[in-house]
Amino acid sequence: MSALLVLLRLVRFSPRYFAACLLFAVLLMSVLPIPIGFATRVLFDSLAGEPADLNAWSAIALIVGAQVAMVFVSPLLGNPWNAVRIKSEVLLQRNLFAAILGGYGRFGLRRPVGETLGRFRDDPPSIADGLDALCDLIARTLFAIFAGVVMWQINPLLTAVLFVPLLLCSYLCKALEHKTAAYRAASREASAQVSGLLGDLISAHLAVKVAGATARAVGRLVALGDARRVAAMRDSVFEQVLDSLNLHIVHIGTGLVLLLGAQAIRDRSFSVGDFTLFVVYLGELTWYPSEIGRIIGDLKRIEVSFERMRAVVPGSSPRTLVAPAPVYLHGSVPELGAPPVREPLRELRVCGLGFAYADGAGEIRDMSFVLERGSFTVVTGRIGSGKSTLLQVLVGLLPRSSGEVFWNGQRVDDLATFFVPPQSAYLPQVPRLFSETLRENVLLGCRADGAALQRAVHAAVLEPDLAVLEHGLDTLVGPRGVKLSGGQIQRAAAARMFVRNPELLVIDDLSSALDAETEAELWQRLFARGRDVTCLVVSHRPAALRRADQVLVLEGGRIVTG
Amino acid sequence: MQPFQASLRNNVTLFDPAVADERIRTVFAELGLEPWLCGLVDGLDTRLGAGGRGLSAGEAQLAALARVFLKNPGLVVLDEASSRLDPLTEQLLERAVWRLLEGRTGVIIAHRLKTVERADHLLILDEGGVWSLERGTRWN
Repeated sequence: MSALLVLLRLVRFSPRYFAACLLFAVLLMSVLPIPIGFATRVLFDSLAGEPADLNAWSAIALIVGAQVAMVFVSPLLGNPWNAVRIKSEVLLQRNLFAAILGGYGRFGLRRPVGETLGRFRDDPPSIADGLDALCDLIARTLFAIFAGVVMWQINPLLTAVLFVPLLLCSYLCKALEHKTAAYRAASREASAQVSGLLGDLISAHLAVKVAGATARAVGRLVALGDARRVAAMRDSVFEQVLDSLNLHIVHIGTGLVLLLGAQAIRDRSFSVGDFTLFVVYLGELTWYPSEIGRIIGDLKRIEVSFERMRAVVPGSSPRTLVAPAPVYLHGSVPELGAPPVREPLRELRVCGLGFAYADGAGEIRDMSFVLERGSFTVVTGRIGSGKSTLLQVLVGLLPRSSGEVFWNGQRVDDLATFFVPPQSAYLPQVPRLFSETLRENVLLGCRADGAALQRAVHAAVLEPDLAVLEHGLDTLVGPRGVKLSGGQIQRAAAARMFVRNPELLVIDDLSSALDAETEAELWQRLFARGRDVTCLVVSHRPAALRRADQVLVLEGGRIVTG
Repeated sequence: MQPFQASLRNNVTLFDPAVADERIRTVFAELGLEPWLCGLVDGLDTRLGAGGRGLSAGEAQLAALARVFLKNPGLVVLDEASSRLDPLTEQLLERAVWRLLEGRTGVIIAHRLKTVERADHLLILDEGGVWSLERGTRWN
């Protein structure tokens, strides 16, 4: 999608604010400078004794009045511009997030988390700034047209001489736009490498410290930082050189005008007043070559930024990123809607489900099985046989490459949006908690009363841990809170799953961080719930296998016994 | 173990350029990961992490053990290293762990007695107290 199209859609999203911006910009850059030119001409003509329309004092009053007006109008531009900028940035970020959540099941998350966060942070402001440039461009162009007409009427030759270097610069910038884009993309990529590694090192800092590899890891980060410095420098220097080029071509143009104008003044065809008008208008027009190059470069960079945002969720249409959506600029954010309707499970049928990574590794094929209501199915097998992959593909965390899933005989089209509570809940092998209280981590926005929460905590064998924590459920956990053990994290995540009372429980090796006793207790309490919950579980533990209604043994990505 | 987005080599050596590829391969062979390594198209240069190839939990644990092997420490502390593996691979890992512990001091945190069959010294933690048992004493 071209940069202009993106900007036009953003303009359509905030039409009134943008119109206000445009109005003030036109006032400031088009309308007010014009009388200044005329008044200056009148002033100098009357000083030189030439016949003039007004007397000198009126001319001075006009100049002062226009300048004062400019001083007052200028800050007024700030208010609608902030609204336009914030609305645009938030819309882009919101749409990108929605695309990730919606498209995850089909495309997955292609980039590391640190890098993706960088795209949220850097690219929307880059794009929103383009609106400012657009506003300026429209306002300045109106002025250029008017000034051009006035000057042409006074002296066509000089006007032509003035406009030629302006047009030359603009052409130069257009010709170099590929290079501009390439340098900008390289700079952003180098930046992304640094934030990607930084994200990795922070989440794995214990492993690095324990292995005594801190110095080497930091050395690697420094090396990537150096690469980023070089790339950013290159981008910046190229931009500056282009700018400087624009500026100097204009000065040469100005020099030519002075030389030719001197001749015309001697011939009396060009008065002093005319000359000062040219100078005043030239002062306003020099914006053009210096800024037009930047604007063309900005448009290219906007395209790069937009592409980077799109690359986060490939396969999504570019329109979805700029589609209108509420951003709640005024007032408060509305309450969340009702949860999706529950459809009780009678039978889950999986036919020929398959998946493979791009290089063919981690492949699973021909996964077919049936889960009856209330049954307990265990998936087992050697490492790398595809157990976790099967579960993740079923709930839509990985994009399936083949196969169908039928819930009560009805085909499920989008696994990622269907297999969520209350239909199903998924517990990964390495659950994550957020920097919130334990209560909020378990509820995660779910509206459940105290009794339901207590039941979930009981089912997850979490009470003994709560008794030990100083604030119980209100303890702050996660990266910025109390450090919970692996088992506690897993049981908290299990409570998160149980509190939603789903039809289908999909559990990926619950017992990997639990000791035998706690684990046995958890299975005991799970089975005590009776036959109203269906389970699909990855496990090797005898306790689970003994209770299984069905055991699926996986090897090499296929079911060998069902 | 969370893989970095870097090559398999860098993930296992933790960015140490001094470790020779041969040593890495030997360690992988000892861990029984040689067939897996041969199966990778780019070998040790395979990029891991998001955007590259993922590791299953079991593979990740074995790779974490490879890191320990390569570091060649005098003291090894293992926190139930085989909790995420199927029984067959667990045996493989056990053999590798005991090979690793030869000539080194080891402290293993275990939930299952099977893991500590060959331990010289057993420390049981219960309700804030510590019980200590020497080899030779019968325990159930």
